[in-house]
This record gives sequence, C-alpha cells and structure tokens, in this order.
Amino acid sequence: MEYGDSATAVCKALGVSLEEMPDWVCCGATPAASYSYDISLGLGIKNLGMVKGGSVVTPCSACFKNLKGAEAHLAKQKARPPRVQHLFQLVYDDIGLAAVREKVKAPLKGLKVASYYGCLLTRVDPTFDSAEDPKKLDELTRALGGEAVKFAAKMKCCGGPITLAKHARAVEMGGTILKAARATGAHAVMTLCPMCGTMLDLYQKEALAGGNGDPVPVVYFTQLMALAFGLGAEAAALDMNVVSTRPILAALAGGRK
Amino acid sequence: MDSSQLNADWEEEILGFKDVALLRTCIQCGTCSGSCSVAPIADYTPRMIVNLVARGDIKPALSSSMIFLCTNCLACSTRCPRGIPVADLMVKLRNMSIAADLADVEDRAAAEEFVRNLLKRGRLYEPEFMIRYAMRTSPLSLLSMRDAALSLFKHGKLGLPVKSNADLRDLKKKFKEGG
Repeated sequence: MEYGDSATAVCKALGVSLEEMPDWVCCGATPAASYSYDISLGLGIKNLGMVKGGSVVTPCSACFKNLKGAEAHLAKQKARPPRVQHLFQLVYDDIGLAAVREKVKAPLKGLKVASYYGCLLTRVDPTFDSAEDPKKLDELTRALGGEAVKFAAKMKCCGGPITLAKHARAVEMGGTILKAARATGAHAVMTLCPMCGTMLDLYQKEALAGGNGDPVPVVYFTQLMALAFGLGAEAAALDMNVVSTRPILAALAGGRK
Repeated sequence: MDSSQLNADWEEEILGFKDVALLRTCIQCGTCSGSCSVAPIADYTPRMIVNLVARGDIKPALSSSMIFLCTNCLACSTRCPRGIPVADLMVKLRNMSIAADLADVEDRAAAEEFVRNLLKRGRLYEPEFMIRYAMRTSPLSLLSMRDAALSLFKHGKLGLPVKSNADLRDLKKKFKEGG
C-alpha cells in the first residue's frame, strides 16, 4: 500500500526501523464499536498485549483512536500499557523536523500542498496539535520545501465510517473537502490517515462527478517525504494512488525550472 | 433486549455508559449540532438525542437515523461546554439499537458482518466482507462496487486473505452471544 511502503522507506532513511507486529488484529475501526463496545475494546487490549518494546506506532487515525482508547482503559486499571503513537507524531515529536530537513535532497519547490488532518488525530490527542486549527502537517510541508496552502476544510470528516451504509453522504463529504482543496489552488492533498486517503482518492471520481475542474492527487504524507528525500517515485509508491499523481511530478518539474 | 422494556431499563443500561448525571447537565446550547458533520441530514440532531436520553425517552433515539449517520468524528465531544462525550453516547445507542433489533438492515449488517469477518482471521478481508454485506442488504449493489474493485485491483491493492495467529476465542464467544 502507498502509505505502508513509503512509510517504511522514509523511516528507514531517518534511521528508524518499523517492525510490523506479526499477529496484529484489526482494530475494529468504527463498525466493531457500533456492534459492541466490549468487542472493540477487546481488540485494542489484545493488540496492546502483543506489543514488544513498550511503544506502538500506527499510520491510521482510526486505529490510533481505538488503540488510544485501549491504552487509557488499561492505564486506568494500572496495567501499564505500551505507549500508543500515530506515525505522524513519531515523525514530528520523536524524529523531529530538523532531522527531516536534513534528509531533503529534492525539495518540493513549486508544490502547493493542502494538508488534510482529518477529524480524528488532534481530537483524540489535542496535546499533540490543536483540535481546532492544527498546524504541524503544514510545518512538515514547509520542511520538505513545499508551500502549505491555507485550507479551511482541513479537519472536516471524510465520511469514511459511513461509506458502506450511507455511501451517498460519505461521498458527498469527501467531495466537499476535495472541492475546497481545489479552490485553494493546491497541487495535491496530503493526508495522514489511509481511510481518509481512500475516501478522497478511491472515491474521488464519484465525489466530483458532474462537476468542473481537474482531479486532485491525494497522497499520504510519507509519500511526499519519500519524494523530497530523493528516494524516487517507486519508494514513494506514487503508482498505487488511484487518482494519477502525475500532476505532482509536473508541478515539481515546473518549480525546478 | 426486548424493545418494549427499553424505557424501563434504560437507566440501568445507560448507566453502564459513564455518567447519566452528566447527560442531564446538558444546557441544550446546540454546539454539538452545529459542529456535527452529518446533522443537516439527520432526523434528530445530536442536541436532540442528548435531550431524549436525558429525560428517559430512549426509543426514538434508538430508531433515529442520527445514531447511525454519526461518523464518530468527535467534533461534538471536543466542543461540548459541559464535557459530555456525545460521540460515545452515539456509539452506546448504536449498541443498544442493534441489540434491540431496531437498526436498519444496512446499519446492522455493516457492523455485524464487519465483526464476523475480522474475527475469522483477525484481519478484515474486504472482498468477502463486501459480498456478505451485499447479500444481506442489496445483492445488486455489488454491481455498483465494480468500479472501485477494478481500481483497487489495478493499483495492486486487492490480495488474498492473510491470517493472524492471535487467539480470538474470547471475542468470538462474545460475538456469538450477541456482543
């Protein structure tokens, strides 16, 4: 997957080895909690029980929410759970943008990026970044040499959790975000959650159907990091995105002239 | 749970949900409704749902479209000036709605088939899950998923099921017993 492949490559370049837990189980996303909160919590507790080394990192905001819930539950019972982190927190807090800047060999000059935080990350952990007006993903864009556009829809929910049972509404929510991104003149939307990525990428054609304007590439943040690090389009897994990412490369080529 | 007993048993059930007294401190300011990503198309807004539950009128809440439209985006819980975990209340009401068989088939099937599928191997296998969901709700809808499926396949995102060795027996038992 574009997020996993690029994340592994980028972290490796930064000297961090990401080891996939061999027997991880699905966090249950939203449906498990809808069916039974006990089962949802049980899945999180099971996952945290398998963590070696005291901390676990996840690239997905929904998994982050569920694992954080399990962490809080276990902490309340004095069970000393492992630390749960979102991958973007690992990059920003533990690795730091200074280290990221050092690895940038091909700055994203000329690339306008709409940073899309999604609804969950900063509401689950408002100590990391503002739950109303987060800024840290934009800081990453600038650290990579790109231009972070002002993007008011940056925390609007993508509709992921209701994409099955209420598909029309979910697609409408994605459309709102994409149209807003297009209006900023951004060359790409950068996400930090694969579910948001799916709603804005896989369903983009449906979301923007019947409208005017060009498609908007949607990439996971480590894909842009991989590009900026000069790891190449393959490490950035740019072919895996459904909406063509060629406009990004075109904007970069234009910016470097 | 027998739906006719709902209003009688609600306090006991909802009490399993954190703090009912907190629900009753709701000042009906409407911040939750104003922040809600789906309230514009819901039958009851989050504010109304809190009001219904706070005064013990559970049945309309359990049959509302709001509780299953909720995406759990947490805007409401984040902004509530009383600190009421409105999004958590929606999840609780979903649990009760499914258990009382008041949920629409799409909403129930989406949740139930997801859990059934993920418990099989510890991982969700989407093709299998989508087919089961469609068979329960609208078999013809599989046709409309064709484009998405092709896109996924074209971009190397469709594979074979993968299994986790995690012991899920306790959760499977819970699922069998209805959650």
